[in-house]
Amino acid sequence: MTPAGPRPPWWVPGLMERDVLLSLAATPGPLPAAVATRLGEGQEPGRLLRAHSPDPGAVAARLDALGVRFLVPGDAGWPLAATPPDPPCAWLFVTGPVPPGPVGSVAVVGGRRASPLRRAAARTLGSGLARAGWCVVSGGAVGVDAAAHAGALDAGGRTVVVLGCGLDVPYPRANTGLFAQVRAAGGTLVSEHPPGSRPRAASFLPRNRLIAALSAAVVVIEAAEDSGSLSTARAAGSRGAGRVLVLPGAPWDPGAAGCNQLIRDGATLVRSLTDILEELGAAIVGAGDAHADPRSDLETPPNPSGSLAALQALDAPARAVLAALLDGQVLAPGRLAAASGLRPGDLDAAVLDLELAGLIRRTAAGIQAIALPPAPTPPAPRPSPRAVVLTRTPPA
Amino acid sequence: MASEALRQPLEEGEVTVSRAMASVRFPARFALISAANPCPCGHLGDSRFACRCSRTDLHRYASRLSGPLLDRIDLYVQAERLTAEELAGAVEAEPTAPVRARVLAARALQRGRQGTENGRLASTDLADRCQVAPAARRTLMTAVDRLGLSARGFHRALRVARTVADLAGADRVEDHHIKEALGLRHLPIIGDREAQLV
Repeated sequence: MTPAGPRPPWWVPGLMERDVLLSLAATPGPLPAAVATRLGEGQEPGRLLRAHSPDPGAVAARLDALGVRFLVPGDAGWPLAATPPDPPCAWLFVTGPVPPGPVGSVAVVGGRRASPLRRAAARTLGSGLARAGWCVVSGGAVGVDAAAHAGALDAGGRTVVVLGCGLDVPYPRANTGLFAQVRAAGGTLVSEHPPGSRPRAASFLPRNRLIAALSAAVVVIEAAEDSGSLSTARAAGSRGAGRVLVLPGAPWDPGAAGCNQLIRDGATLVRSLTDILEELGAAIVGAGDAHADPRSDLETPPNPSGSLAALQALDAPARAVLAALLDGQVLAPGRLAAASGLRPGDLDAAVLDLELAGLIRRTAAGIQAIALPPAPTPPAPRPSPRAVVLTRTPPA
Repeated sequence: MASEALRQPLEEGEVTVSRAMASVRFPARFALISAANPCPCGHLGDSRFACRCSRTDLHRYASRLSGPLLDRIDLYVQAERLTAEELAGAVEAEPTAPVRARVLAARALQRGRQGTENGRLASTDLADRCQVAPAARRTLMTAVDRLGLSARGFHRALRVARTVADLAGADRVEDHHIKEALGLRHLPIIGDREAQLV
């Protein structure tokens, strides 16, 4: 076949396809997804090369120096074999172990500006999923992404961070420490973009389809209207029912607008870790692969560390205050008084109790909820009568 | 910053002016009443208008008032947008005459107990004079621990709680007095829009 168009100077006929892909991947220019689409349409990789495509040998040496691996479809452990994303993915740059892929992973997604309560939910669910043996997949942004990774790390789990820039590009800077922790805990950083690629707005939407493709299901913690989380959820939803699990919210909670829309469009409503694990179990059984599932020996799902049921354990004024704040609202004291129906003195006491318990915080904008109360602990086993006799102090 | 010059008189009730020849002390006991916008655009926490300040704007604005100065202010009140009814005076508010009577009674109570008002009581005498209920003391200790109250913040909260109890005519500082006092303490009043990420 005679090459059409300009060839890079290093071009020799009969070159390995993998080398051509490596050069293509490292070529500055069109988005990886755009290149992958053309490859998917049957274009010959060599034809997509341009005169300034870098030499595959030089690229490979640079990747080695950075500790980055280059994976293409067909490689051992290619994690997207069962769930090819659309548009297709032609290659991945990977630091750390190869991601387990949809068999062992769940995505947890939401926005950068999610309310503290939804961020706390991401962290709690990240922990719970990790304890249940799932690898947590998310992006690398601040907010829900970071909280989900941090939660999984809290529980000693491994996570996969899917970036929209080069793996050596510290973006966002606030999360570089978190990425190091992810790696130290045996987790993985993944990107379609070659090392050195700057984060560009156009890179993040295509990135979301990879988060969906690397996961058995996508748990949407927060999604404003027209948010990136919605695109991740829709990418997962296109694979069939039971792939999109959504935390609902009140109609007036801006962080729940996308969540509620997804539910209305047919996504599964989840209220707790238990709900999520139940859905994941069904998805696995549905795939007819229950025996190969490393989690089939899971006994009982662990308690989520925060729960609405635990609201009942609070006294009435505290419950009224927290209930008024649960929709992600930030209320100034006057509005909180109106919303909770408490008298000023009772309101002060309830707000302070909740503040001391670490469940709310006061900001210049007003009072906001930051965590749910811990799940009620089961009552301690009653001591046997004999034990009571033994521990009773002798009469004076 | 001129506001920093208020720290000494706020604490000691006098100002010292030192020149080459002499050092002179002037009496300077006063009540500081000050107001600030929550942010440069003024709409942070507003129920009607969105704040349009960037995070950098907020940081810069907040940094103009030092922590030590804010720590010396006893009572913080967040002023919220008034409703049309409130603006038109249609909502009944308590007249100031009975409030004045309550304040005078509380001051008389304080002078009768300790010979001076709570505000002039030395920190060392405060603990002896306060008569704090055990539950109230526990709440205060928890607040020191969880809210990071400074030593000054601790004493100021106790002093305010004593005054709250005096206004209610209570002999002892009860738990709800302490909670009300802590609710009036230093707010992250400016420049703090969001919780720490993660």
